[in-house]
Amino acid sequence: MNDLNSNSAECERIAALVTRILDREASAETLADDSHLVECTACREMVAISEQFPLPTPKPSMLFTERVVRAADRDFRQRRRTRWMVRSGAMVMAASVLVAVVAMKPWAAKPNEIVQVPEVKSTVKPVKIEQSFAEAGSAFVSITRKATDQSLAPAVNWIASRDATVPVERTEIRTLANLPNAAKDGIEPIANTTKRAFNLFVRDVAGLTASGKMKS
Amino acid sequence: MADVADTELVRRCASGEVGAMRELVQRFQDDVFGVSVRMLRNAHDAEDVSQEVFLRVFRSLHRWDRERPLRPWVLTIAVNRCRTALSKRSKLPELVDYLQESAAAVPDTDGNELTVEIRAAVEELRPDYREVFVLFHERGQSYEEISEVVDRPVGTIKTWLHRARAELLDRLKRRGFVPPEPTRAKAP
Repeated sequence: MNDLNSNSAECERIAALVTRILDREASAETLADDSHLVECTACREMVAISEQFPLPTPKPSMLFTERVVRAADRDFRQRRRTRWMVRSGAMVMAASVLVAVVAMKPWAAKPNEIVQVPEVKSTVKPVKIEQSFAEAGSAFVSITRKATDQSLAPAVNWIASRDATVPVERTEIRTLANLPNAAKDGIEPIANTTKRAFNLFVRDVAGLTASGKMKS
Repeated sequence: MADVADTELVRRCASGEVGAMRELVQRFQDDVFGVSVRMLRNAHDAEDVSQEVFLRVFRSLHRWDRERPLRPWVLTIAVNRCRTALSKRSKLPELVDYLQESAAAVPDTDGNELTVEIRAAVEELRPDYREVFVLFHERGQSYEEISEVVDRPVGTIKTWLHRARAELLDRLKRRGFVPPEPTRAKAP
């Protein structure tokens, strides 16, 4: 039993050594003079297997190198041609854009020479409707005042009394033109002021649109 | 850090120099084809994928980080292309047996029965274990380089490699290439 145990321990030592050799941590020569290998067939076979590594690998065919080089050269030329075509295309496109830009001459119109549309000034003054109404109102007030003043003035005896010794000269009044100057003087300012206020009112109203804004 | 030779070679390739392209292909074709043939288990497919890998390498040279070595970068592209090819193949209907066993299958150049058996065992490994095993034992990549190629931590790479070896040994034992361990053999 002791012999078996010692054999097992020796086999484990050899297995560990073989692993170290395979891992390139120990040289194969370390096993050369090992006495255990003489008496243990299993370990001897294991070492024989490990000595088969590295396995001989088949080589590629004789023409392989030339075939690959030819394919690589062809591929290189094709890629270079493609690159050249892409670059040429890009240059043609860039040139087209340049020509288009030159043809359009965006620099021809200088900023200072930009034609400005003249501002149309309105001849119609802004509506001052409050002022117009105020004028109209004052005109009516003055009409009323003058009319009141005239009515309060001493009455003119237009019809001659039978008892009067002095005959009253009777004049026929048909129009305002025939009125005496005093009466004309009294009425004329009123008529003028009213007319002026009305004209102003009509003018302002004519200048308005339906929405109440000034017509342009 | 990439060496000056790599940088200069890449510069010449990028300028379209055919001689430089040939030099790059010759430098890496064994690595690329070796990984491809182990991953795809078919020489014709491996050659097609290897050609595709080199075309991708030449197209992507401007993306190569000059601060890093060129070989792991090329192998990363190779592993990725193999994964894509395997993924495409899994979507296609299965070929009948006699077509799979055609001359396109990886030839067993070595008559050694043990070698043939090991190779068959490697081909039966899970694809990610197989990648790691091939990169480590056949292409001589370090753990760090493999970690970069397959984009996994170094610890994962070590675990995968250990499991790959264990599976391989297990298969060889089942096939009778490794005698039973002495403890069990001598046990009553």
